[in-house]
Amino acid sequence: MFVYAQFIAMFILVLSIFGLSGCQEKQNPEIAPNIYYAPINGSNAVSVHLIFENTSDQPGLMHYLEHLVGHNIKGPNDRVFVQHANAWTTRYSVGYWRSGKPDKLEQLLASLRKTIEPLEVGEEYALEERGIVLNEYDFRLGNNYSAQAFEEINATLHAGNRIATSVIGTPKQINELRYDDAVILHQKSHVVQQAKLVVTGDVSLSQLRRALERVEWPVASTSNQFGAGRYHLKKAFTQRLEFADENTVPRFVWQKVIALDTPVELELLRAQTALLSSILESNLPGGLAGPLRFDGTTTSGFSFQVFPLDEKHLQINFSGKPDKGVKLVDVEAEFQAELLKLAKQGIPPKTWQRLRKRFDDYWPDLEDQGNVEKWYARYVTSSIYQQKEPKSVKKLLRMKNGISQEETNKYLKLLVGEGAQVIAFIGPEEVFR
Amino acid sequence: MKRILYILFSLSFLAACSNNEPTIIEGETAQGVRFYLVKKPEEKRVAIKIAWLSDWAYGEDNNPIAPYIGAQLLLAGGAVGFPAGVAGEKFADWDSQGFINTNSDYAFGELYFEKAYLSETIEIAQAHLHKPLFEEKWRARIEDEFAKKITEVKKQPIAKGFNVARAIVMGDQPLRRYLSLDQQDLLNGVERSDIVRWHEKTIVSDPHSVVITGDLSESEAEQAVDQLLAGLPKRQKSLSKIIEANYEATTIVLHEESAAQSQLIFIAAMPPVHEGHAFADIMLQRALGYGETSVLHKTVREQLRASYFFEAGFAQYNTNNRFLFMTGAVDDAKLEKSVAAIKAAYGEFKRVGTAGQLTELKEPLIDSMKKIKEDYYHLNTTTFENVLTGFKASRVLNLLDELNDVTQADVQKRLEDAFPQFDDFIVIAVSKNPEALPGACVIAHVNEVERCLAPRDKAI
Repeated sequence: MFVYAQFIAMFILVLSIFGLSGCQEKQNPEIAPNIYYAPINGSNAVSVHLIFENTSDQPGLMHYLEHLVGHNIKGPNDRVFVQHANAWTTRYSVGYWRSGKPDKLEQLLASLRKTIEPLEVGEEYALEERGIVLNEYDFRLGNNYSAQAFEEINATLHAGNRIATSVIGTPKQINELRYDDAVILHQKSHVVQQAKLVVTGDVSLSQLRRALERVEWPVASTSNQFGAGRYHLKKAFTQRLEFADENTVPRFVWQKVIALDTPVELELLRAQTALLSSILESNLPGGLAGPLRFDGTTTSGFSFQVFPLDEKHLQINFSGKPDKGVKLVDVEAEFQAELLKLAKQGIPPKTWQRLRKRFDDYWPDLEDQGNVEKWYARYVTSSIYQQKEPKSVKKLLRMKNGISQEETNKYLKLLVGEGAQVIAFIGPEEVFR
Repeated sequence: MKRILYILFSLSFLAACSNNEPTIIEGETAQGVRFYLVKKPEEKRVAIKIAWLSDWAYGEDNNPIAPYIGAQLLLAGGAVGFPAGVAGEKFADWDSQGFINTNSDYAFGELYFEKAYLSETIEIAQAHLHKPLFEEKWRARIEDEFAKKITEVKKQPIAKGFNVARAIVMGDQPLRRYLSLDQQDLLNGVERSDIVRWHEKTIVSDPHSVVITGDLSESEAEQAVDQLLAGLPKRQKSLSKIIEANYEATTIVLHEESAAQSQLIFIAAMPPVHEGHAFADIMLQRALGYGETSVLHKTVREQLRASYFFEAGFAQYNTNNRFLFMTGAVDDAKLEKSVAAIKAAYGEFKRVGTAGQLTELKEPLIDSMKKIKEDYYHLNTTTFENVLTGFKASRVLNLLDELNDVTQADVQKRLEDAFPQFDDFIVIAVSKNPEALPGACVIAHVNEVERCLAPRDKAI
């Protein structure tokens, strides 16, 4: 009888564990139009993000608006309930973030709700804030010549697409920012229908629903379409840029965008290209570190990343620092020759299998429920910032099976195919050639 | 049903009783190395952190660049049996990581790996510590890369400002040269023999501190430590690490034509970490200059509208010389006003401190302290820092209680006793306007600092 009872008890326990994970797998993170929820049980903290699409084509304007809205939503008692607060603008989104204890969820939501209220900081404050943005430019880019070069590389590579627009702008562009334009952009972009709320942390769904009701959260009538990321690669081109500065670490930079014939699910594409990147960065047969760095003396170090811009376009970033006495033209020639050779040969099966095994940690261990929740909360939040619709845990983990050596080699071949590319030399001019 | 409930209750009771709390054991290996084992039941990974004492930075005849290059070369340049590039791939297969770093007083070694790969990971780490190749190709490559990076960093106004601060505090003592790296000829002049000598003097079999964390028995930990340090020489002599520190309050403008905006720096001496009161210090530093609700942010950004951000923090030149700094880049036109506003705000901060804010200042620290015991990395690092600064290793298990016991009166007393008066601060501005601060001593190069100071007792 005792054994029987123990069996029943264990059965109940097992059932409840499976029941919980089953719920999560089925759960769509969008619990109401434009409201996304990913619980992290036991974290004793809650994070709320309110995210709007960056629809501005004017360099620096959305970032300037973010500064003004940040001031507009500040309250005298924020310090009491907000543990962390921040706001940021990316090429895809502008977002406002608050975090605190779970019992402060209502105050956190009420604080963020103010982002959609009329902008009332006044002309004088707005003008001063333009000076603060200039200070920020100087802090981030003013004395950083490489960062300025990468701004221009980005604008050239993505010309004609919204992500070509600089987030912060140049000092001249910042000086031309106008409060009136920021107010108009606020009225167009910071509206209920565009606002996507992401709540992650130690709150239940019913607690979240209750808090939303209490603060009278303005729920959109329908889910807003994810707009950003529709990338257009009109034609292939090669553009060469040079950035001469005697005090800057020399670098050969190659950035390229290629189009796929057929679209692939973004997360699968991200996983496949991350695996390809790690193979190419390795010192194994099929990697570039051997010929360029360990066996050869071309670069003292390099980074190689391939990642999707959307379901149909990949971006490739290579940045290599020349070895002592090596010119950047030689880094370029060696790198291109080696990449072409690898693309023709394909990845050796042993290397692919070895790197694929390392790649097991790319996805979380399903047995570690706490870790799965944290991973999924990060995924949902970053998806919304990238203006991409998040998928369920089940769908994401199913993608593990979509990784194959054949696909890796297919993407490797594409890297040396037709595309839009920028080749840049940065550093002291005498190192260029 | 009653029986089912009873069993469920028993199961949960058993779970509650199972002790997964970390414990700390002080041990000594067969080779006589003292170490601390932080035993964390059911932890799959292992962390080892070692500190070797070093007085290299204090030696007049030592090349100050050698430890920086040597630390990188030890890992990147390969070892006997493991040519450069081989160990990195093996470590990646096993998800193992290894690091070597240096500061004024120590060289640090760190290893993180799965327990299942303990012997393989330690075999490779031991080979790199004991028999590094120090090949010329890698020495030249790392030296060249380091020199280029330092050249780039040194042109930043903030780097130039702190360089002036070091010249004020330490004059031309070797430690300043080690920290400032401003001798261009030395940046490209590290001989292999310099690195070999640094390695022989520093990476020895009797380190200052060793902390190992994981689900290991004491004998497993002992063997791991001895295996890791096998073959290394014993330290030959005691170390001499004396510096003369002069925190003479003065105001200096470094005239820098290329500075996009002015970098303003305040520094003043603080008691060293080993004297205690860490939690009070952190809370005071956060209230003064961390985040949007801090005194400095409100003063310089929100009220004066002169800067994107202005922060306060602690740093140290060596174990015994810690300082408080406040810094930010400000509008040239508002530089003088900024100094006056910060003086007034700091004075008020010294008077009222954190009154009424203790709970919200404690809350994030409480969260951090709770997490320390849950994560093997944080557990190892925090225990190591405690041991290194002379506290008991077991303190790490009681940090939460220690934090909870800190009262508003403790914090206020610390502010009064240890934090400098505003007039004690050295004030440095790096600006394209030489007249930015009336009454300041204006210099065009760090070498001119001495003429702004009272004559020193001896040439340092």
